[in-house]
Amino acid sequence: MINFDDEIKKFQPSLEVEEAEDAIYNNDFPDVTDIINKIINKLSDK
Amino acid sequence: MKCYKCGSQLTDENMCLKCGADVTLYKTVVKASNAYYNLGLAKAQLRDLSGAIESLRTSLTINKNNIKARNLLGLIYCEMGDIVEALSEWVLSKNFKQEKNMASSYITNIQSNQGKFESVIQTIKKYNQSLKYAKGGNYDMAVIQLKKVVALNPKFIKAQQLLALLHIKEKEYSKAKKCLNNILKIDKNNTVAQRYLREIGLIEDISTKDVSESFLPRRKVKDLNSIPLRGNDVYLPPTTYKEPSNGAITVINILVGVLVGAALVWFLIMPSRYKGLTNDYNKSIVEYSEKLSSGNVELNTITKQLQDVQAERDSLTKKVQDISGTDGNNKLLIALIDSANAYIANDKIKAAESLVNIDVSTLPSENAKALYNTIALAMPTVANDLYTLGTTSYYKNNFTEAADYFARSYKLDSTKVDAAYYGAKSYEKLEQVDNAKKYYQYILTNFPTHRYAAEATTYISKH
Repeated sequence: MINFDDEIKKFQPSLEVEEAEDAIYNNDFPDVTDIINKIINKLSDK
Repeated sequence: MKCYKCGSQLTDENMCLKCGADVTLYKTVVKASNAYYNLGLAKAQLRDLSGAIESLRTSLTINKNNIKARNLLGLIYCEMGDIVEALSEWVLSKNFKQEKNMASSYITNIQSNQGKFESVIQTIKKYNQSLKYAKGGNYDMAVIQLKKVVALNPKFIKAQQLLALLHIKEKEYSKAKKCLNNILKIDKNNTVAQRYLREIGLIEDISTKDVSESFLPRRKVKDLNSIPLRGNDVYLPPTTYKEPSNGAITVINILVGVLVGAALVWFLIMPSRYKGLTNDYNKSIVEYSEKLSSGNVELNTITKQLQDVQAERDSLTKKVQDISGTDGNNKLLIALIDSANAYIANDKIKAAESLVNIDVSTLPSENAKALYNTIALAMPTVANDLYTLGTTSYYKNNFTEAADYFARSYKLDSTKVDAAYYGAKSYEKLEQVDNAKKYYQYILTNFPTHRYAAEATTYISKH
């Protein structure tokens, strides 16, 4: 059975235009290539 | 593929020809990212948008510079109604690669259709508001808002999901299924929609099972036609009449409706309107009548005042004439002057006789009154003189002259009873009965106890 209270908690507000700028700036997370690059740089430093 | 270190184009070698960096691992990673992109693309082509998002997110986690994956992710967000997420992805994409990037054309395309963009933004705001309503327990308001949202943007998956959930809560499963089917048309493998549909299916199965597996016997649907008629039943034969539904009848019905409406207006609304107007007119007439009456009263008052003023004017004119005319003060003064002239000329009889007709109180000045009094001192003497002349004429049997003297004497001195008596006797001799009676009457009136009174009474009674 669907538990309405649990289900409603899963819904999140949709991103509005005013929040777009923050969303773009906060998107700068490292990907796998960044991690590999860091590992290679560390190895070469050694 | 470009070198992660210097950005130069890589070849099939496992080393960058420009900077000499080992790109073996990098190439493996990029290939993995591309593999996830391909998977996401395949899912997107099959309208498995949720699955495509998952694959593309993985692809970007491996290689955030995968422009194709990012652009496709933006497109999928756009298709699902999350326009701001789509724009965010495209802006990031454009930031990573500014030239020859499809993201530029996507952004331009959205910017060129500002009206549609504003409309979509409003639907997002309304969705967020609806979510607040729903979380706050205000489900009716949430449903109303969400219906507006899905009407404006039917591809907005989140709104359709929330609306479906609210319909399920209200046990409106058919409406919920409609929303969920709309979602599945856009996103075939939407897990939330599928789960909700499965739950609705279970609920409906249970309710059906409840009825089918109940231990109670099912109600039989009675076929009325199969029941035999009894004595008190009234049989109504099935009618074959059917309402006509062609265009002409519809037009006639509309015309009849219009006529009935016009008749209602004519017979119900217009009389009350006319009545109102008539009342207004009557009120106006009453007001004007009152004004006219007050005007008439005022006119009558003014007319009366005018008449009074005219009467007063006539009275004053008459007084002025009396005073200034020959019959007024002038006459008195003329008589006084004549008397004074006669007095100066030593004609005392004329002076006295001119004076006798003047009322001293009506003289206009004190000087005139003083002159009158001076001349009046001579009047008794003149009366005696006239009486003596009358007596002489009487004994000469000249009764005409005698009567004149006695009358003038009595006129100058009304206390002289002898003058009145012999005046009467003279007229008696002249057989002028009326004049004789007049002087006898003077005696009776003014000297009722005098010895001449008995003779006067006898004469008057005999004549």
